Amino acid sequence: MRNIGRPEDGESELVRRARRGDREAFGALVQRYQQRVVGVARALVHNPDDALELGQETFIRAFQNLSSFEGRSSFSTWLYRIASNLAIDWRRKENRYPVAHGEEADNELRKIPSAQGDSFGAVARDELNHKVREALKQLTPEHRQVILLREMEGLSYEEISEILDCPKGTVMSRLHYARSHLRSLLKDLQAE
Amino acid sequence: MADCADIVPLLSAFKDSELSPLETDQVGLHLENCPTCRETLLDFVLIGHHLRTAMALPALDGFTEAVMGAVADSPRPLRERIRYGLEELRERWVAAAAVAGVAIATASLVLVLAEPQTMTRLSGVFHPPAQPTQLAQNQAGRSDKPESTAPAPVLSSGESSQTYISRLESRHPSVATWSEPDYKTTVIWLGDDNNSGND
Repeated sequence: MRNIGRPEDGESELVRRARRGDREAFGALVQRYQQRVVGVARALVHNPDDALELGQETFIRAFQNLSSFEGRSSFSTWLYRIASNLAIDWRRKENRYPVAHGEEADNELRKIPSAQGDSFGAVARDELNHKVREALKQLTPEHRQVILLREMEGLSYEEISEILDCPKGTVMSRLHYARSHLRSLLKDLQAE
Repeated sequence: MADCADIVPLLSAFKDSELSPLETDQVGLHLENCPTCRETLLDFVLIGHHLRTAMALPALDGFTEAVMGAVADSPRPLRERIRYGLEELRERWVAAAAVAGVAIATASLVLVLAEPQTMTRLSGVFHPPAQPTQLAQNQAGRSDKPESTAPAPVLSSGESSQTYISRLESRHPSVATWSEPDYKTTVIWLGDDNNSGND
C-alpha cells in the first residue's frame, strides 16, 4: 500500500486535517495506530477475529466522531476509549450469543510465522507459547485485560484506568493478582 | 526492613515503575536482602516476556484498506460536515479580519505621517525648537550694518539656541528681527521705547 502519511506529519496536524475530512490524513492515522488499537481490542475481547473487527469498527467510529476529540488526551488514548466502549457492547452481544472462541483463537494465533521454522527451538517455543496462552485463558476477563494492556501495549496504569473506567488502585491490584496467578499457573505447567 | 508480606503486593507496580519514590526506595532496599522477592520479581519480568512472544499480533495486512473502504462507504454525519464547514468559514473570516486590520492600521499610519504638521511636530520631538537666546552681534559682512549701541536684547538666558537675532534695526535700536527656521517664521521684537513712542 502506498504511504499516505508523511513521516514528518505530527499527530495533531494529521488529526486537524482528518477533522476537515481529509481521508488521506485519516489513513495515515490508521496506519500509525492500527497495531496498538488491535492489540488493545484483543486484550478487551480475547479473540483475534473479534479484535480485528473491533479495531476496524473503532477507526470507523473515530472518523465519524472526530469532532468530539478535543485534544485533552492523546489521540491514541481517545481511540482506546472508543475500543473499550465498543468492547462493552461486544461482550454483551457475546453473552447473548455465546461462542466458543478458545480453539479458534488458538488456531488463529498459531498462524503467526515462527522465526526459526521447524527447528527444535521453534517447537519448544511453540509449546511454551501454547502454555502461556492456556494460562492466560484461566485468568478472569478483568485480570486478562489489565495484563495484556500493560504487557502487550505498554500502557500506563493511568491509561488503563481510563480505558477500563476503574480507579488506578484497582489496576494495580488486578495486575498484581494477574501476574501472581500466571506465575503459579506457569510453574504448574512447567512441572507437568 | 519491611516484611515480604508488605513488599510482594508492590512488586508488580515496582516492575512497572508505577510506585512513588518512597515506595520504590523501600522495595529496592528490601530486594537487596531478599532472594525470594527477587525471584518473584524476575518471574514477573519473564511472564511479560512470554506474553509478548505468545500473543504477538500478526501483521495487519489490508487492515488500513479495509478501514478506509468502510470510511468511504460511510459518509460523515451531516452535523459533522456542517460543523466543520462553519469552523472553516470562521477561520477564514478571522484571517481576513486580521489582514484587514493590518491594512487599516498601515493606511492610517501613512495618512497621519503624510500630514505636514505631523511631520513638523514629529521633527520637533527630535529637534525641539530652541529658545532665542543669542544676539547676532557680529554682522560685519553686511553693508547696512547698523552702528548700534543698543544693548543686545537678551530674550532668554542660560540655554543654547539655534535661533538668533539676525538683524538689529539701526534706526530703532530697540527693534530686533529674528527668524525661527523650524517654523519658517520671522519675529519682529519691539522694545518698550518703541511702544511708548520715544523714538
